Amino acid sequence: MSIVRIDDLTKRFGGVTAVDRVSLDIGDGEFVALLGPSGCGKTTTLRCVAGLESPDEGSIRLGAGTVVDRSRGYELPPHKRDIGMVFQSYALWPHMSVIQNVSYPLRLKRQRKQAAHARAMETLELVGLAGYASRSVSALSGGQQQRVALARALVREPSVLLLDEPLSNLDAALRTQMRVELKRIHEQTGSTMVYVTHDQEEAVSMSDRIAVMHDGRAVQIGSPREVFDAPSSRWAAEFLGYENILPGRVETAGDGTARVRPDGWDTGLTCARAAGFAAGDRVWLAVRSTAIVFDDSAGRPNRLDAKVLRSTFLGTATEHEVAAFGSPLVAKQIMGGARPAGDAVISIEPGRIALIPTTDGPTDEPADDRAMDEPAAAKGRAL
Amino acid sequence: MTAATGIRTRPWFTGRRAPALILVGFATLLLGWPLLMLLVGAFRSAPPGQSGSWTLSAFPDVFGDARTYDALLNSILFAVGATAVALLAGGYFAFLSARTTTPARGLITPVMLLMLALPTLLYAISWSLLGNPEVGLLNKPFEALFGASPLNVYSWPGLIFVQGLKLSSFCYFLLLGPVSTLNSSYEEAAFTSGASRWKTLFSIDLPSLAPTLFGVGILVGIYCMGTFDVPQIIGENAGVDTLSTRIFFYIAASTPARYSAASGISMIMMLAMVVLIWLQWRYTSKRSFATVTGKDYASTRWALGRAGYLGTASIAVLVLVGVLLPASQVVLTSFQSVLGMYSRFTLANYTAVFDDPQTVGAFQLTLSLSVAAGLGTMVFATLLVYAGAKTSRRLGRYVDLLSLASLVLPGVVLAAALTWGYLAVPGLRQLYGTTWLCVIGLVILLVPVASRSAAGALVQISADLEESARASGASALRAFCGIVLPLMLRSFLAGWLVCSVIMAGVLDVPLMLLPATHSNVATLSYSLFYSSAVPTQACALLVLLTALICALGIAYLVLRSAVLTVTAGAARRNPRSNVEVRVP
Repeated sequence: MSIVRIDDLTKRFGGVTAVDRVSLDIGDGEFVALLGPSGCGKTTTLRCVAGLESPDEGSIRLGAGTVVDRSRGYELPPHKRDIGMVFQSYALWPHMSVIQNVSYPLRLKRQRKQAAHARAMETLELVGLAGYASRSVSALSGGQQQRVALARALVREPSVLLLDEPLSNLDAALRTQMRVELKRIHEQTGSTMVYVTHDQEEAVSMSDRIAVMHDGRAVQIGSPREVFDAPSSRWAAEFLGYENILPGRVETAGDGTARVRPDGWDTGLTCARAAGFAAGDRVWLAVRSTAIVFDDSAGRPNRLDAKVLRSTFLGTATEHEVAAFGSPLVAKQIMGGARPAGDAVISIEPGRIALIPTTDGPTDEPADDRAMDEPAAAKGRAL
Repeated sequence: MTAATGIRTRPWFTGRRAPALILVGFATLLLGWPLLMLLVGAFRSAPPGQSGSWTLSAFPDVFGDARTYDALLNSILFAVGATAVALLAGGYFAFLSARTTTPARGLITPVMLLMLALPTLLYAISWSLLGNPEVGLLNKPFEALFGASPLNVYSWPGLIFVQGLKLSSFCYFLLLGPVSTLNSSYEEAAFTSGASRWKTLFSIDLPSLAPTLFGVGILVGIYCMGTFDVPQIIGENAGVDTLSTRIFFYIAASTPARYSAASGISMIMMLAMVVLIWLQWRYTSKRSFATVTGKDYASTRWALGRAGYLGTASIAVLVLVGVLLPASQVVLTSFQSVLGMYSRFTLANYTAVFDDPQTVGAFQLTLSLSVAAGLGTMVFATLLVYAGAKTSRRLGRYVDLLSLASLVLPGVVLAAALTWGYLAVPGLRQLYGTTWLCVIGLVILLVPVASRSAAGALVQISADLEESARASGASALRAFCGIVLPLMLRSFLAGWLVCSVIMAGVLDVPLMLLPATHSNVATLSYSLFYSSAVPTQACALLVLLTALICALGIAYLVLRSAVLTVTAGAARRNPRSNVEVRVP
């Protein structure tokens, strides 16, 4: 049974459509991440669920009841929704102590002071801050403040917990630690969580499902593995860190494999995951830099002659810019081994080529293709 | 001015700190000497400047008089009441203006600005006419309908209402900033915790504003303790004596003037103010209200929906009560042939005013007092703050304190103190009975205002500003003309305007320090209203005074645009967008 059901949600700010017909079903106890770059509408979607923004169209159900339905002009104010929310800025009230912050939602439910206190202490224990109850919130570190914010959102056991980039203000080490902590709390409480983030690692490591958002739309929804292994569009592939994206055409297809020839190449590549594609389809081939290996053993499929143009040592890996059939490619070599230079042989693992059906492009003229030019490749690496 | 603030660079005054120290020393004397003599005066048997002996005789006079305690109690009641009204109204409208979608909220700031600029004297006189049981514009309709006048401004509620209304504009501008930067994520966190808007307002917004509200409240309370215009004009008819009207009574209405008694009352008043300041210090030192926040979310406004029209209604009331009613009463009265007769309007009051050479002289005096003394105050305050800021940190803190010290010297007390201070010194004594003593009084009165404005201007001229202009390729001269000068000049002009407007309308200092042969517009309209009982002519004068204040405002706008044009050439190559303006 879905605990959150978002239907055709649309929100405009002036002339800008921040959220564009987003629909999403979230099951009881599920951890769903809304992932996307800044300005993609993920936070606005979350704020619509919380009631902090009023959508222009669409409806949202929480648990058994509708909280907003534009077609009926119905909208429940945020304080009447069964939610808990964690803010990016923590938003702890500075005039209250830790325990006062955490017990505030319970006091609003008219719980007796004693009972509220006891329940708040339990929640503080859950986040590991039982010893800090009487502290002033401004005397806490960033990570501790985030835990208090989490406890405050959890304390009234809402049917859904909304988290708006909760870790983005923490330093890297603390972020990793809090990720594990959040996952543990999710498992321990069984609460449904909707988590907004622009950090792919966070999304992948914590969530059951990811909704990738772009320009106000949910462009892909699926498990982390589905989303990362089979991006649904060229944009998603670029955003999810595919460094090499080539336009091409399916030559032959069958049994879930296909032979695909990138535009301008003399030879095709074998793709092991090509179910649903037919000969003649225009496609994007998306290949992660780690799927391109320097291995000239004769039996390997997809062997290509290439020229190494430049190598950059990155500390734990080495990145090589190579050219094959005039296409610039990026290959990342994780382990040591031979350092390729000049002419080399590369091979691309057939199981690690993602085929993306094209609706919008690519055209038959490779010259139009943005994947060919240097800035696009650089952008891909930056992600 | 090529060097910079702080530790990194050598102070501008290196090797020649003398001018700065002399200036600060002079300021200490200027502000401190009258205060010292005021305290000493409480123990002297003779009026200032005459040989007398040490005595405690003023004490039984003052402290044995039941009226002193009545006045103290009244002052406290008045201050508490007016401050409460001002804070409530000011805070309410600040919230409406900055944090809601109330229709017509854009009107609030201009109306409040008008209320702030109109002299308290005008407010006091117009409301004492408006709420006058016999002649008031507010009572006339009731009288015609029911044969009775329900409103009487000459009462405790009237007194508190008029002062509170005037000061609500002051509170509004002090609270507008803090209210508009209220962290709306605190509110959102409350909403999502299950708190309604009302609950959020009272359990989240108000407590986080508490330190600001308290600070503004203390400031307004101190002002109310010492203010003179409203208690004198409205309070006297209401039978309410405050400490400030007692001081005026001892000096101006007693023969011979009882200066030592005035000193004694002044001491009581200043003691009360010190208690207030101590209260605030205790309060703020006890709690730390560091805001806990990561990234700022733009402050969102509350969509009030239909309830917003209630807010609009309250804005209409503000426009009516704050500006329209007092203004129309004064304007109408200025055209009346007989006070309270709302027919057969005449220009006679204006002709009488213009034909009187005394009036023309009063206008010249007001204009020169406000413009020249305003400029003098700003120059003095700017130099003082600059000397303090660029010499040493300790001196800077001392100058800060010094420049705010005269906040506890309300006009009446200041006048008494100056009389003591200047009559006692041969040479300086000659200033007494000239307009110069009044000028000095006005300068001291406005040093706190001017120094805040100057400090604001100087903060903007951080070293980075000049350095970044230099780094963008500007010569030292061009950096100074393009960056430093326009930045400082604009704040300077604004400070000058504020000082001039206050000086044009202030009553107590000129009333007590101007020689009997001279009057400015404020004292003249006061005496026309109060002593000679020609309130219609007083209103004509007040209308003209308002016109003068408007003219000052226009002159400011013209000057400012002139400054912008002159400096624009130099600034063109260093657009301000390249430069980070740092505000504390």
